Amino acid sequence: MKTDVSIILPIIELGEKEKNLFADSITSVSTQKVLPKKIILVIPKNSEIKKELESYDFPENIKNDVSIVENDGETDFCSQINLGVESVETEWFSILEIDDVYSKIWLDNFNKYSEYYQDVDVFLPIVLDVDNDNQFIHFTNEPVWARDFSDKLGFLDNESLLNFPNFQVSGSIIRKNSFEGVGKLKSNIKMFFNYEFLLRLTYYDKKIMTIPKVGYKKVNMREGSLFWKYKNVDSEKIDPVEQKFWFNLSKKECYFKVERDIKYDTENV
Amino acid sequence: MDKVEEILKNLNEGVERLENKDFSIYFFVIDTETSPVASVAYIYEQVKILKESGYNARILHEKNSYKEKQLPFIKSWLGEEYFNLPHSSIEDKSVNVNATDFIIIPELFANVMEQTVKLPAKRVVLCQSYDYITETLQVGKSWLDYNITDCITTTEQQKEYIEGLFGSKLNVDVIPVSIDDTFKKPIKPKSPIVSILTRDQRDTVKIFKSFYLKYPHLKWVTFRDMRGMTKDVFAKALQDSCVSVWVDDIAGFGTYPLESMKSGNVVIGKIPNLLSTWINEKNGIWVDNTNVIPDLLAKFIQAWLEDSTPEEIYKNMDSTVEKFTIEKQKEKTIEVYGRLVNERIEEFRSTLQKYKNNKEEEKISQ
Repeated sequence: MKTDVSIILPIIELGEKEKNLFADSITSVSTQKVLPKKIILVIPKNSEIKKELESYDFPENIKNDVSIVENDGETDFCSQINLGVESVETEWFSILEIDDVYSKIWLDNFNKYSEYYQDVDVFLPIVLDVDNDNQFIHFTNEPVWARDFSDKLGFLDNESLLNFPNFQVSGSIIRKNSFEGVGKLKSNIKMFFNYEFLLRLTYYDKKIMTIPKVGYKKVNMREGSLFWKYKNVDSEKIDPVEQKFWFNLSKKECYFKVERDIKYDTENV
Repeated sequence: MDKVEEILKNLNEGVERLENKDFSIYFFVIDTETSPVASVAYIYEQVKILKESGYNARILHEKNSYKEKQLPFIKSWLGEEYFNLPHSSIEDKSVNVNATDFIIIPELFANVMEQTVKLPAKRVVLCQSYDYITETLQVGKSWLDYNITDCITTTEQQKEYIEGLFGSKLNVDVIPVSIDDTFKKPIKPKSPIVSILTRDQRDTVKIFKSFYLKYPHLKWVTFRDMRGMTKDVFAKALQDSCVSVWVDDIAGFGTYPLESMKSGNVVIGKIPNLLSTWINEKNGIWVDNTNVIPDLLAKFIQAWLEDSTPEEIYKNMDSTVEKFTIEKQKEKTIEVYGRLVNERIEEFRSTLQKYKNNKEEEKISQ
């Protein structure tokens, strides 16, 4: 019995390094105690990636559930996810980044917790953040279980999120209707698109809960990753002033469901 | 009617009353001043079982004020059915104790044993905490000096300890504690909450402070001190949490760890001085040093977060706790009190026979 979840895995590059990462992330799907119904790989249109994936030796237990969605528009992370969600036919979906992995118990625990907490819209995992040497750095998404962090133990609300922004969306399991209902991810918000999305969800009274189980492992600042580029690649670099701009903007934009025309404006920092 | 005939008549009536359960069993209880205490809950359970079995069992408290504060607390803590059990107050002097009655006295009250020595009723010690036996007992005195020859306790280990203290003239019976169905595994998935109960509150503070100091990445894990809760709130708190910590060196039985197990919580506990037979290396994480508890707790939490706690421990917890059912407590309670009553009947009959024999001898000599 497969669970009513689709996994969206966006791929922008598939070099040798990414292939190894991809193998790990796919294995983390195929080794779940409970399997998802679909695995949606979102790739840029007209790239070599499609051929690679068509000949890829997917694990037997998931290979018939893999589908490829080609993106002929913007291929930034948010656009890839939004396009992937359009192809989702299950009630729930989850975002898996190519350099991350699920823990084996994640979907099984989603089943257990979603059966009891039926009004929840987003289930966050406890994320295990590790460095490039696979050494533990810290957990993410866990503070909701601290006494007095939020109104209800285990749940994330707007006020607590305004006080503490460090939450992670990748790995979480999101109700498709709720995602679309609040207006998807906003690709024009740099760096803090996750934060803006969570603020928007809570502003529109969507319920977010952290399942108190380690469900996702993330390599922090992996070379070549989006956030690594923000820090290290000249063309992508975001300085502290701009970071502050996007952070403050997220708090304002979360009231709007639609993506508005926004540009970095040093005068408004 | 001469005096002997009157005695014979009284003895015959006594036998009849005992056979017809027409007598009272008084359970002396301490006023806990609205604090939940497991030993008091056990006494109320015994009264309830005996009442349901046709005995006139009653709670006996010292002051009239018990009814004003403690009794409403009993209602909120244990429930309406315990609140409705018959209660008698020593202070209002309405208690009329007969030779056919029984008075059950907790081990702590050696002074009560002494004060009641001249009462005609049969007195039995109820010992739930071996550590309190000598608390008020005068130096060189034994329960036997107060004409008490029967004791009820809760474990075989306490029985051995008591027999070691008072010798074989004291008859000791074991009535185990039961873990009732208020404690059960929850439908709701468990939360990363640690339920902690220690006899000395300093241990609670020491454990959670050390835990947060040594494992700052787990500082979001909540500790819940289990003191002072009503039974329902206590049971729900156990259901919510994923692990229980227990430190009680002088525990006589260990109700809290068993309630925890029945609620699906792994127990990290310090082995008490008097080891209960139900504690074994497979049904919990048992240590002999409180200082290692924060480390073991951190390891356990990590395993729980990854669903890697050995399934075996949960199976062993289930098989441990299933031995302590209310049915088994009922069965043993009825058996023990039935035996005490039968022995009392035999005492009456034996006295009766002596008087009859004396009377016969007197007739012959005349």
